[in-house]
Amino acid sequence: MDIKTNYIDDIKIFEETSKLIWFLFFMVFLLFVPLFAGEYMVYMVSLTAIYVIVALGLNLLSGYAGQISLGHAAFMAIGAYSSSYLTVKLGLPFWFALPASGVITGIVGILLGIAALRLSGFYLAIATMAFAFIVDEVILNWVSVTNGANGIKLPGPSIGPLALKTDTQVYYLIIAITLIMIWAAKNITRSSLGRAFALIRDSETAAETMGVNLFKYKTIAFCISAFYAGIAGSLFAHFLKFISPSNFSLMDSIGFIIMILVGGIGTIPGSVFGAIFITFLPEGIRFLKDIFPFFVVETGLQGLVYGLILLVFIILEPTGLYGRWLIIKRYWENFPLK
Amino acid sequence: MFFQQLLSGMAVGSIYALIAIGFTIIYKATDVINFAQGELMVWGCFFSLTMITSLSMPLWIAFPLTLIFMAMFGIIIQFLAIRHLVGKHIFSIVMATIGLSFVLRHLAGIIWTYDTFPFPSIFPSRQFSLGLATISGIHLGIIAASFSLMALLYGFFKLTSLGLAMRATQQNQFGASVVGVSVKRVFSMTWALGAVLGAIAGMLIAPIQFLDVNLGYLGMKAFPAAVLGGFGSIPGAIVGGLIIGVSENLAGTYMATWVRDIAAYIILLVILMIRPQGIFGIQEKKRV
Amino acid sequence: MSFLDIQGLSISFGGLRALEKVDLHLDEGEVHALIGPNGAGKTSLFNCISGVYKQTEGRIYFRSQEITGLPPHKVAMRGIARTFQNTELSPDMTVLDNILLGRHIRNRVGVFSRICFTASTRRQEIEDRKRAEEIIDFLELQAWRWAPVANLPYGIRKKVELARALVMDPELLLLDEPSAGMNLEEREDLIFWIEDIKEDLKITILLVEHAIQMVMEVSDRITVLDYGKVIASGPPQEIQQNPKVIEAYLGK
Repeated sequence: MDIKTNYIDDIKIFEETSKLIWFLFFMVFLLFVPLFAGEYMVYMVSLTAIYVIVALGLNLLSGYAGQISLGHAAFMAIGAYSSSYLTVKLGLPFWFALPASGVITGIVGILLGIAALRLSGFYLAIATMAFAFIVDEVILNWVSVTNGANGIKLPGPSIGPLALKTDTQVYYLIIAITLIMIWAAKNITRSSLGRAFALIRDSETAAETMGVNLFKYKTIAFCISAFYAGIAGSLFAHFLKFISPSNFSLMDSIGFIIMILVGGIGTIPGSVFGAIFITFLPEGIRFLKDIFPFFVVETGLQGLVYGLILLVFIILEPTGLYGRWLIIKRYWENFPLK
Repeated sequence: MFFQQLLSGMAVGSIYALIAIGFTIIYKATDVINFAQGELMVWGCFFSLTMITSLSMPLWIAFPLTLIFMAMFGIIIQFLAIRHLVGKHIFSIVMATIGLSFVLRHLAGIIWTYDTFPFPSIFPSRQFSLGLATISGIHLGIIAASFSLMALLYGFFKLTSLGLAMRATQQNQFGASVVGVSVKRVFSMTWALGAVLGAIAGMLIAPIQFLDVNLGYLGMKAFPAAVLGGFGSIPGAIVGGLIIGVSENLAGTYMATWVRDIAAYIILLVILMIRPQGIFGIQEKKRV
Repeated sequence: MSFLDIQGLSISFGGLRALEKVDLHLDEGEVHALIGPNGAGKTSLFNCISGVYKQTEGRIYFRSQEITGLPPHKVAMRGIARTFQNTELSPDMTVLDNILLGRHIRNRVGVFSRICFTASTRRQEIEDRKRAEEIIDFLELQAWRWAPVANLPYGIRKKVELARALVMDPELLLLDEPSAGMNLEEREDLIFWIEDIKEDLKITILLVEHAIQMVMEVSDRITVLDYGKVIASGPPQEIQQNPKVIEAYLGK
């Protein structure tokens, strides 16, 4: 067998044919959602896709490169408000504002990366948390740009001169962008970039002595992660057509962490599973309330559930939904052998 | 005006110091960073308030009863959730205690609602004159009570056998157990003490800040205090807390009012960039 | 100047002097062992060379160029690779991925190209893979290629770390206790590999070791450290008979 072909096989995007088949299944499903499911499902799937982008970025930074980020909603906020400023205040078109917001957020990510360079573990965690609190306060008070607590109304997304009129069109645009972001994330993880990130997570000393420039690669990790959140923020803003500071709170940041924890930390399918989980969680809570009517209180429930999920997941330490999926898959592949 | 802000800043600062001492003790003995320290404050206050309003108990009975309840509450939390975290990766511990803080905050909201309540103080609220400024009795009481408490804690750690056991466990868990220290008991007692300190801090500050489930966010400010002073150092927690409290007030007065809310976090970021080990901390190096 | 020149190196931790005016000179192509009782400062010396520690005094020259105080990644780019006492691998990644990491300094593709996985990224990956396979063959790790490192026995993990270092195509290889945790058979193999690394790959080796027999067999020269100071340096037979060395190991 030609060794060269073998190597090429190994670095394909879908390492196994089964993955390709699942992917195609998924694509067909996504394609037909607007045709068979209702308006609400289209909305939910669009929102999930946006959160997938955030989860991907967070997974690259925290799951792969091991840099804890407790304030990721702040990056999303920067992306959202940048996009709103560019489109509403400066009148620039959406197709420019989207990548520009990503770039702006990426630059802020670089700054945070530089500030956090010598930090790790707990110190990095509270540094990112402090960053998030500061961004939140700045958004509330920089009224000329952000309109403060009142929020900003935005136009919907547009490609060139065509404003996308229906939810379905917006849905397909969001799915398309999400797929590109997934592709890019997959490329990162199968290249030397992903390997460098993983060693930074597992042993900074070893990474350095193997020639990994910590400054450069940590900053790149923050930059890419922030860029992802920025893109998601811009999409989010133009999708909902209205944003306010309450969309990007500490609760949301913790929600993103739960996404990658529950989905499967450090994996790409995990980001997807996690995003689905968190987006559909309020549905699940509502469902439970119908069964158990004594759950009368609406307000505190999300926070309570988030807290319980975190405790359960940390204490029991499962590998997340994706890990459970792999175990099930392996069982069926080896059936009837153990 | 400056002196005024200095004094009231010291009052809030000593609360930050108390909260910071609370989770520093927990960290030193059990290596767990307790993000739920603020929520322990809130629960202590709500326990008190329930006894005072619904059961019509006088303050001098309700407050000590609260401390006893909180000690038990701390032990229960440690038993149910925290002891499973021993030895886990720092990210896991942080996320778990954040999860705990969410659970405690929203359980409190479900039980006692999200409304804001006034909270009684044992100190007189009239103004006292201190040369250049006047200070309310409550603020003065906070400062006095906090410092007395800190002195008591100092004595506790230096002189009592339990205090000694806690310090020994922090230095070396295995070594401590070898010489007969019950590590389990130390862990329980540490959380009991942490919860009590949290409750005291809460009952001191609630009269000024009013009580609602979000009072726990004050606990977040204790982290910059602890880091500024040197994480893991109790004198550091005190100094850090006072500096943060005063800086917040001054920032709020001489810059925009909204800066006050983030002054603590700006200080935190600055200190993390230039001297992460804080004022009293030691720089640790990884040995490979 | 020799291949590796260490002059008057000292380092202190707080009040403890871990290294005291250490002089060490390596010739190109030799296998040089660093031995001494526990705590003598051997790993500290490695860490100074790698750039992980910053020395208090002294200078280090590699191929006549000063590398004192260089950050670790620059030291790596100069052609110095190392292994660690406790293997510092990525436990969740496969053996192959861990070894591929060693090719990091040969990377010629930019960040953006890697994100888009361009043709040049593909070429880089294939080239990296080729070199990694050569080393895998050399160290006979083929059976373990796809295994996640976490579940592997200690001896295999040490080999993986060695492979990662070799894949860097270094000129100088620092081995920190390579035979620790190995059984007799593995140790014999290790001796052969060290010889092969020296002869076939033409790499100069500086190793820290406790297994004295192995050291005697494999080294061209030996330097002995005790309490951070060099107490003897020379060929194995000399060291074996040196009274100061015997004293250091057996005590007065």
